[in-house]
Parts: sequence; C-alpha cells; structure tokens
Amino acid sequence: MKKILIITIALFAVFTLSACNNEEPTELVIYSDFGREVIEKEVYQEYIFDAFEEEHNVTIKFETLGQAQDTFTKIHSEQIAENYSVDLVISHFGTMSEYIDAGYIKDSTDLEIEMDDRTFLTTFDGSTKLGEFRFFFPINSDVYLAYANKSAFTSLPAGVTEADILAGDYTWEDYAAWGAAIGGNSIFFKGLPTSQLTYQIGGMALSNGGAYPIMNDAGNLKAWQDVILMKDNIHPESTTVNVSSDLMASGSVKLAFELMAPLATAYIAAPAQYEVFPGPTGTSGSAGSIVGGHGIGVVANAPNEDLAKEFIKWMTAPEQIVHAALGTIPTILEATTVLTDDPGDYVIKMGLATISNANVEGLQMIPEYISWGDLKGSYDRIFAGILDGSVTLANLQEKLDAEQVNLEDLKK
Amino acid sequence: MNSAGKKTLFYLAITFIAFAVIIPMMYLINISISSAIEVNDFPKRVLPVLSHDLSIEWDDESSYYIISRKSFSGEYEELTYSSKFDKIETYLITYLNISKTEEEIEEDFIVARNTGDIIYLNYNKDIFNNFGKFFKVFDGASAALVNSIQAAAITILLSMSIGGSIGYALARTKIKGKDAISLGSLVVRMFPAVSISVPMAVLLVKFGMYDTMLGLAIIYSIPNIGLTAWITRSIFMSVNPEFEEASLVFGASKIQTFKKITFPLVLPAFAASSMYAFITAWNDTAVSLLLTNNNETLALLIYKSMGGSASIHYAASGAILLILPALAFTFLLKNYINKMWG
Amino acid sequence: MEKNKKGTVKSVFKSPYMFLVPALLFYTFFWLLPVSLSLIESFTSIDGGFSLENFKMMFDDPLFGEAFRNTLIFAVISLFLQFIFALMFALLINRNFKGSKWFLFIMLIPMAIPPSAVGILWNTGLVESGWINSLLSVTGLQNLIELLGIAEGPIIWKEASGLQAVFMIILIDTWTVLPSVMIILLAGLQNFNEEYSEAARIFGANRFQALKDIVIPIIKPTIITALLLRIISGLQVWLISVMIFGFNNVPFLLERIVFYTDQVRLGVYSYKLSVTYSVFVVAVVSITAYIFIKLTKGKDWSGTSE
Repeated sequence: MKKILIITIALFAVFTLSACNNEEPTELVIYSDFGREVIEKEVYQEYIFDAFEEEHNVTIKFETLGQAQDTFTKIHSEQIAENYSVDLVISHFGTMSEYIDAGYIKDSTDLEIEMDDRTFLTTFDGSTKLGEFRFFFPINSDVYLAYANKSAFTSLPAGVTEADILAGDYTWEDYAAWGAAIGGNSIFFKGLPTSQLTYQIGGMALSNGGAYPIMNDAGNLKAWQDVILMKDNIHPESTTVNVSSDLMASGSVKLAFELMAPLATAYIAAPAQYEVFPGPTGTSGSAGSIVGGHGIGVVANAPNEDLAKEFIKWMTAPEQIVHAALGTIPTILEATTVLTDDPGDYVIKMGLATISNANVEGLQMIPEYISWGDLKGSYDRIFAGILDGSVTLANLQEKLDAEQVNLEDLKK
Repeated sequence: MNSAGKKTLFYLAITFIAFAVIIPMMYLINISISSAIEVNDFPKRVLPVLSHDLSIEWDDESSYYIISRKSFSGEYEELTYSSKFDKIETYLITYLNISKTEEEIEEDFIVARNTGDIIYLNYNKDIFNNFGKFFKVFDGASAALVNSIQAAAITILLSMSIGGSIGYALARTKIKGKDAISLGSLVVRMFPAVSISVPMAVLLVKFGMYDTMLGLAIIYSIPNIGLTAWITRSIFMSVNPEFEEASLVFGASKIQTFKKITFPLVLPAFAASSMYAFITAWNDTAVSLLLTNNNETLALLIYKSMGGSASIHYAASGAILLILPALAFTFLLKNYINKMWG
Repeated sequence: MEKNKKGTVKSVFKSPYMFLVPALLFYTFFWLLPVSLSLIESFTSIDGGFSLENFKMMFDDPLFGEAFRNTLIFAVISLFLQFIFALMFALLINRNFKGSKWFLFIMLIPMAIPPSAVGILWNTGLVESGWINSLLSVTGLQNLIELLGIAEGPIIWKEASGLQAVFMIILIDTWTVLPSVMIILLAGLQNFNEEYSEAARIFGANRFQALKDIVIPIIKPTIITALLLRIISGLQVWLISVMIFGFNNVPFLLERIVFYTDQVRLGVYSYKLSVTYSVFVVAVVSITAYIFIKLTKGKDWSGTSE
C-alpha cells in the first residue's frame, strides 16, 4: 500500500514537471460560428486540419462560441485592446457586415485573384463583399429541408401520396395531418429557447408569402396557426435540443423540418432509413426557407497573416470545401457541378433545388437589431404559450401584435 | 419473522442496492464504447456489446451493396448502400466503430455479389475508438488532462505544506487557541467555493493568476488545508515523541531522526490527505468554469461536452476517463471516507 | 507572541506560532480578502456609494424566489431522504457476510464519480431513448406503467418541470451520496455493541425506541460533522440541474451565480448580481449551519473530539 502511494506521488510529480516544459509550436487560431457540434469538429479535424497542420507544422485552435454575436464580441474586444490572437474568423452571413464596417477583417481581394482555379458563387456577394472588395470567402450555404423516417410513409394522411411528398407537393396542413396520422410525439420542431425557432417560423412564413422577421403579418399568422395544428404531436424534447439528429436517429421523432447540416448528420449515418424531400408549401404555393451560411476571412492584424491566407486557399479548394460545408451546399461552382449519387451529395442537390424553387431569404438583418437574442425571445414566448395552451387560435393575433411591439423596440 | 425470511430479505436488500449502483454504470460503460449508430438504439443493452452482426446483400439493379445491421429484436435493419469499398471502409469506422481495411471488406463482401446470396458477417468493434476520438475531437482534451493533473499537484503541494505545519503545531506545540483553529478549519471548509470564486476572479486578474492552474489550486486548497491539518494533527499526536527523543539520544542528527523515524510514520497521513486534495481538484467543475478562460480542466471539458448532437458516446468515453483516477483514489482512501464531504 | 520575553528576532522565528504564519497569510489573501471584497461590493452601488440596490436587483430577478425555494427544498429533503434510507440499509446489513468487501467496493463507486460525469451518466438515462426507459422496457415494467395508466408510451423524463424536476435531481443526488452515507453509518454501528440493543429490548423497549434512544446517540459523533457538511454541500447544488435541464429551467441559487457569471454578459450588472448572490448564499449557508448546530446541540461538531 505504502509503495503504491509513493510511486503514485512520484509519477505525479514527474508528469507535472514534464507538462510545464512543453514548447508550443505556432498556433493558428480560428474563431467560428460554424461547426459547433462535436461531430462537425471531427470532420474539420479529419478532412481539413490534419493535413494542413502536418504540412505547415502548426497546430490549429478551432473555437466556437454560443452565438454569432459572441464571436463578434471576442474579435471586437481584441481589436479595441490591440491584443491580437485570432487569425481567422468564420462568420455567419448575418454578422459579416458588422466585421466589415468596423474594419476588423482584412481586404483579401488579391487572394481571390490568386485563387483562379475556383469560382465563388455570387449569390452571397451582398454579405461577403463590399463593392468590389472581397472580405469573406463563402464556404457554405444552408437551407431547410424536410426528412422523415421511412416508417412514417405507412401512415400518410388522406389525399397525399408518397410521390407527392417526395416531389414537395404537399402543404403545411398536410405536414401537420401527417404528424397526427403517425401519432404520438412524431414531429420535431426547433423549439430550443434562444436558438433556431425564429428561422423555422421564418421559413414557414416565407412559404405563405409573409415577411421576416415580422410577427403579425398574414403569412406569419398562418405559420403560427399551423404550429397550433401540430402542437399535440410535437416531441417535448424539442425544447431541450438544438437539432433533430439524435431524436430522429433513435426513432423518437419521425418527421422534421431541418437545416441541411443536422439533417445530413442523421441521414448519412443510415441513408436506408430515411427519405429527404423539400419542405412543405404554404399559401404562396412554394416552399420557404431562411438561407444561412458562413464565410471565412482574415482578421485585421492577425498574428499569422500569411499562414491564414494559405489556410483559406486550402480550405476553399474543391476537395476540401465539400467537407468544410458539413453536408450543406459548398459555395464554389467547381464543387456543385461534380455531385454524385452519394447520400451526402443527394442532400446537397436537394438543397440547391430549394434555393432555386422556394421562397428563400438570406439572413442579413441581424445588425438591424439591438439584440438578436431578444428578438428570438419573442418567438420563444409564443411557442411556449402554444405548448402550454395559453396561446390559442382565438387569441393568437392579439399575442402576435403584442410581440411585434417588442420587436419594433429592438430596432436600432 | 423467521431467520430464513430475514436472510432472504437481507440478501434481497444487498442485491437491490448493488444493482442500483452497478446497472447505471454498466449502461454508461456500454455507451462509452458504442458506435454512432448503436448509441441511438432502443432499448439499450446493459452488457457491453463488442461486435456488430451485419448482413450484406448485392443489389443487381442499382449495383451496390446493401449493408444491414441486426437490431435488438433480431431483425436486420438496412443502414446504407454503396459500391465503393473506400466509402464503405470510412462508413464502418465512422458509424459502426469497425476498423477494417478496404481489402478485407472487399474479400468478405464480394461473396455476396458472386453468389447472389445475403451473407452474414460478425465484425468486432474497436472498443478504444471512442477514447481516441475523444482526444481528437474535443479540442484541447489532452491539454485539459494535463491541466487537471497540474492543478491537483499544486493543490497537494499547498495543502501539504500549509496544512501540515498547522497539524504539527496543533499536535506538538503548546500554542493557544487550538479550538479556535479547529473551528476555523471547519468554517473555511463550509464556505461555498463558488461564492469565493466570483470575487476571486477579480483578484486573480490583478495578481496575474487568472486562467492559470495556480489560481484554481488556491481555491481548491482553501478547504483542503483545514482537512490536511486535521488528518496530520491526529497522526503527529499518535507518533510517540519518545521515539524521536531516543533516536536523538543515540546520536542521530535531527535530520536523520526525521528521515528515519518521523517521516515513515506520518507518510500515510500525508498520502491520504494528498489524495483528498487530488479528488477536490480533479472533480471540480464550478470553480474552473468561473476562473478559467482557455485553460480548461478535464471535468470542465466534460461538462461543456454536454448538449451537442450525435456525440454523447464520445462524452461518455470522456466521462469514463474522468471517473477512473477518481475511483482509484477514492478506493485507496476508503478508511477516511467520513471526512470527505463538503 | 508576547510570551517571548527575550523578544529577539531569532526567538520570534523559533516560536511555535511560526507554523501558523503561512496559513495566516494564505487565508488573509485568498479567503478574507475576497470574502470582504464581495461583502463590500454587494453593498456598493454602480456609482460607488453605499446602497442596497444590488439586493433589490437580486430580489427582482424573476427566478430568485424559485431558486431560493428549490435550494432549500433540495438541501432539506435530500438530507432527510439520504439519512433515513442510509440508516435503514445500514441497520439491515450491519453484519459480516460473504462478499461484504466487494459490496463495500461497489458502494464506493457513486461517490467517486466526478459531478460532471454524473451529469453525463444521468443524461444518457433521462432522454426518451435513454437507458432508464430501456431498463423499464426490458424488465417489463413499462407494460406495468402503461397498464396502471401512469403514462402512455415511454416516459419523457425531461418534460419534468418545477418541483417534479427538483425531486428528480434529489433522486440523482441520493444515488450519488446514499451509499457513502451508509458506509459512514456502518462504521459507526460497528463500534456499537449489539448487546446494548438486546438488553434494551429485554427491558421492554421496542425496536424504534432502541433505535432512537441507544443506536442514534451512540453513532451520533460519527455522523454529525458528516451531516453538517452534507447539508451545506446540498445548498450548493447546481451542476446536475444545468447538465440535465439547462440554465433557467430548474433554478438554484448557485445556478444563478454561474448563469450570471458565465452565460450572461451584462457587464458590470451581471458581476454585481453574481457577487450579491454569492453573499446571499454565504448567509444562507451560515444560518443553516448555525441552526443545525443548535438543533443537534453537539459539542463534538468541530471535529476536535474525535
């Protein structure tokens, strides 16, 4: 016993001392709004970081924070304090203008000219460029699609066939009726507070010809009415998790309207068990979706600027960007024209189709509001009210009008 | 009640309590070696599953292999389809924790294509896959492990040196206010560490110790110094001073006396209290959450690993890594258990 | 120090009080200083003067009342539950039996698990497809539950809120702590001669009286300190709540502190709030400890008499 103790303590001391003397290699620091999930970090490490780290003898530190706004705050405080540690930022389209306006991102127009082997999609120039000048390079674009466990197709509602669903020829009422026909807690809804609820509702409202972000126009009213239709079949754990992947994989839910990235996580793991199809249509006759996405840029005064540029070249090359997009649409032409029949590529094709056929709107209004988190709060309150029964078809309009007043107060 | 009935009741109680402890642990262990597909199985299995039963079918029409896995109910559920063996290799290791080379897979699968029959395979899982992935996937997991050990080591040093000298003073000298010191050591142990951490953050920034393991170790030492004083005091009291005096009389120097007589006698007490210090530092989440920024400890990393999607099996394997040292030290400490709380 | 009549520098250094100097310095800088700073900070307004506005801000926190209530309920109920069940089990298995060493080893496991690992363990259990529902399903208890009409289909544990959720956290805490309380009671009982209770029963005392008048007083010294530390650590619950239900859903006092320090970034206000909560928690802990010591009327609680 005594010997064991002495040995343990000795080992301990040796370990501690050796730990203190570690020499650190160059560190390339990336702060990101994208790739928050562990499983996504795994993809980044395996397909993007490993080879780059080895070739350039660096370690990459990849950090994600809770909200896009937190990443901006981090860069902002470093720039103000003139204490620079971050080399690269992967920003959501919605917050890019803040970085560019504040001068926190280096103009990389020359880098784009240098990378003449690839063509960035111009759809996102509004966020990533300022006039002629390139600040961010888009790496992915994400829309909402629907997916269902194959077993769900045995309980379709009256008047809807499997072919209709797969072709995207069904409405939000059909979707709610389908959930009810399956029964139980079959529907996943993006209900986690201060997370993505606002975007799901936004997509539903766009399919009804509504605007975003507005609480009380006709399109939004219809969207919330459809939520009330499906409320009895929404899985209660929807309000505890960000994404549907785990609930879908365990069979707890059968049906979800979901961003491509988490949808791909569940689908690629077992493509034989699911069907992926366009989201439901609304009163406008089309599907709707908020379009998100991310781009990468070099931080002003980055400690390792040259290395950072090398990294952008590496990451946005066609072979890497398909991995970097994490199952969503890679944003260079060379990558979207070589898609195969692989499960992953299938999801991407479906996403591209949605961008061209559905009512989509980019998420660029974040800087117009004092607090995007508080804006999400308005959606959260209505949703919680619907689940606990305090918001009903009868008082919905009135509640939405009240939240719209809160939203107006948040405008800058 | 007759004695046989009593005995049955007794063993029933023992079994019930033991199972209540073991079963959750068994599930955790099984989840920690689960593959991404298994982790969503329902019902989950309590005994560790070390292999997957797969069935392979060649679909002539689409010309690809259909890979299915045997589920709990015994039926085979289709998972995926592919004709490229490199893609299948990646799929097997990523989603089923099966580590097979392209060639091995081809050799097995080709039978299904040649004969047109469904073939059944039993592939062993790589049970350490998740542990390796844990370090690879969670940024800074290995650094966090080193940090945890460092914080624990500094805590031990601080508690031993400061607490040991109080213990010695209480046992061997005639100082006044011994009761007050004992009371004080209990008061500091009662003090919520989180409550100290909040104002401490500001102080540590001033002292340049914010986000360092030294800063954490200081907080961890606050309760442990008192505890060490208590344990060493009773040991110093039990070492008979006459031994030491005798040694001095026989011509040994003070240092020799300490080395040969006192030190071996008090060693177990120091070992025990250093293990407490270790456990305090190793188990803590709250203090390191409040007092570090980039230098996380392992327990904090595990805490933060919660809430992600499709990654609970990695978090579980990290939890197992966190539990093992704590379990070993707790077991070595079992004789002192009633002093451990707080 | 005034006892050193010679008063030379050397004798000061040789004084036995020198052994206490490191501790004195340590606790002055790292305990007294932060504690008094937070006390001052909590009574200082943003612009510097004395004020109670921080406390007003804390009382106005919409979750303050619930957090306070939950904390007290948790500390008191978990203490009682753990003590009573541990005593029951300890009395039942207070003897040597085959495999008792193994049994004790198993009992040590839960208390050795670091809290964040406890969070992972129970989180994997409480999701709908988790191991708790798996266990119910494979043992057939699920059928019983459905037969009795308690629930239709698998129970969704995370749906719990309010007191229900607090009780779930109490049960998880009990799982972690109960075995070790039992071991401590067993250690106490082993010092206690079985003949005492036999004698008591012969003289007409029933089992309960024997327990109350003889067993409890004899094991009391072993457990008083332990229970005091237990209730105090009960007042510091937060991690399990956050790991299973997330912030804000099942609030506790410490959960508020961590929430305002780590989650909310309101600048100086959130710092003031967390400091004020800290001071409040210290007050609650001190008052509880005082009441506990008064109630037990123990003189041996400081650990000096053992």
